[in-house]
Amino acid sequence: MSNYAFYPGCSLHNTARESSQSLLLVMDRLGIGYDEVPDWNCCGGTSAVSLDEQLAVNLAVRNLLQAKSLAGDGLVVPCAHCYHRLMSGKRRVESDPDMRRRVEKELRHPVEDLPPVYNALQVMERAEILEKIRLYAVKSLSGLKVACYYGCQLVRPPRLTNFDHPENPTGLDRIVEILGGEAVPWPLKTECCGGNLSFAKRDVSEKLAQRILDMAIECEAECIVTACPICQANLDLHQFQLFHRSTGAEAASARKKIPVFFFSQLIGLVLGFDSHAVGLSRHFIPAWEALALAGIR
Amino acid sequence: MSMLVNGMDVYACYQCGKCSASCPVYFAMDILPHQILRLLQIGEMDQVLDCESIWLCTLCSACSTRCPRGVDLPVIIEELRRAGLRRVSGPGRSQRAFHNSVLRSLERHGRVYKAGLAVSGHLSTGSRQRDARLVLALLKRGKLRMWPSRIRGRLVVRGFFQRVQAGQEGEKDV
Ligand code: SF4
Ligand code: SF4
Repeated sequence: MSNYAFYPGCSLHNTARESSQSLLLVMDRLGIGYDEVPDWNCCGGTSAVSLDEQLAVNLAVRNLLQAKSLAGDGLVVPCAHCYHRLMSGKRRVESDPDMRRRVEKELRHPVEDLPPVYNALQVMERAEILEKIRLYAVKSLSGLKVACYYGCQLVRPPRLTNFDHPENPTGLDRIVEILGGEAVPWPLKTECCGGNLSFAKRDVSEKLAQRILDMAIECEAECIVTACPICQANLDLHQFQLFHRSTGAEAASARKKIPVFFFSQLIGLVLGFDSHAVGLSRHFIPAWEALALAGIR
Repeated sequence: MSMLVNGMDVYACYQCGKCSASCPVYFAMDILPHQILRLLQIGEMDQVLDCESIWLCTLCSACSTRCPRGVDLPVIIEELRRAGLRRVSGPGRSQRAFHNSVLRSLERHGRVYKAGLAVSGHLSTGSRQRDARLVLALLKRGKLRMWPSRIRGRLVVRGFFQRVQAGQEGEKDV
């Protein structure tokens, strides 16, 4: 059995809880072992790097050292933003001896043999795992039309992230097809959803989110599936806020809503977990219509 | 000739504009991505440090992935932000206030206390009533933890911040 260290990060502890909830269930069922990184710290997101470069590297490297003893097969990071930051810190100390020395001094610990870092999608899209999902599936998405949305932080910049393509990645599409769904072709697979502006600049972030939702609907998707917990939470919450802000008349003629899943929720449903177990009750935009289309309740 | 910002040569840019055409937040920017590079090339650093664009950029790397000259604009923007994160006024102040709150929380707890951010006015839904409704909706779905989650190693993390602060004060002295 494989054994990974697991880094949840702050979002998966809060607004994106359904992501880790469903992912851990699925990993258990598929026999992918994991242990949570002990005493992990926040990755610093885009804030730490906006204050001080070494601060951002320190924060990343402390997590990697905490994970080291557990990460036989590497460190799994479901949040695309955390993944990006941990990868970037790791690359930095591995390629810049001067930075490494400074980090060692501040952490009072030698920095060597850091574990490999994978995003959850990179673990799940492997051929042997896809085969397992196929074997263990007890349901099917029955042709449900899905817009596969990867977001920006996961796949870019390519020098950092090791995905198949920075603008047309295919991992989610392959997973959706194994689950019996249909990945619709659409152009905004890796466009930014504005998630990291959603607190500070709501109006801008909303335009970005709406553009993605509109395009998915226009391309006849019946739901969106993301590989980034922040995109999932942002796209879901945005539709709820839009609805509650509009006046009676606007709400009546409100735009069409579209449910947004984190990919392990769909895997979980097909493996036979119920909607509560995979965290669908935490969603703002209900998913029952899409699930009914897929013949799953 | 070369001029490096965070290791990136700004003269590598030949002003094709592909970055601006790729940028998802161009519509809100006061200075477009290719214009940032042009201003850096002609030495107008102050204008660039004073624009809102560097705080609107989501660091999505759409521009750098497509740039025919290998210019990594988000890497440049990170460096420009570091020159002004602690400034209170000026364009981009709400984004800076947000980053500073995140960092305060991280410095204290070692993790970010999202419920704390939410009640300290960073939801920006535009009204208190809507803010309250949103917090309730998040709590109901178990999406906000009531109490901060503190790590044992928070003193180590605080040490990182102390070094940053000492460095910044050192800069002021010279
Ligand atoms: S895409 Fe690259 S070369 Fe073209 S304007 Fe932007 S930074 Fe300059
Ligand atoms: S990294 Fe920033 S400047 Fe470049 S495309 Fe994304 S938002 Fe625009």
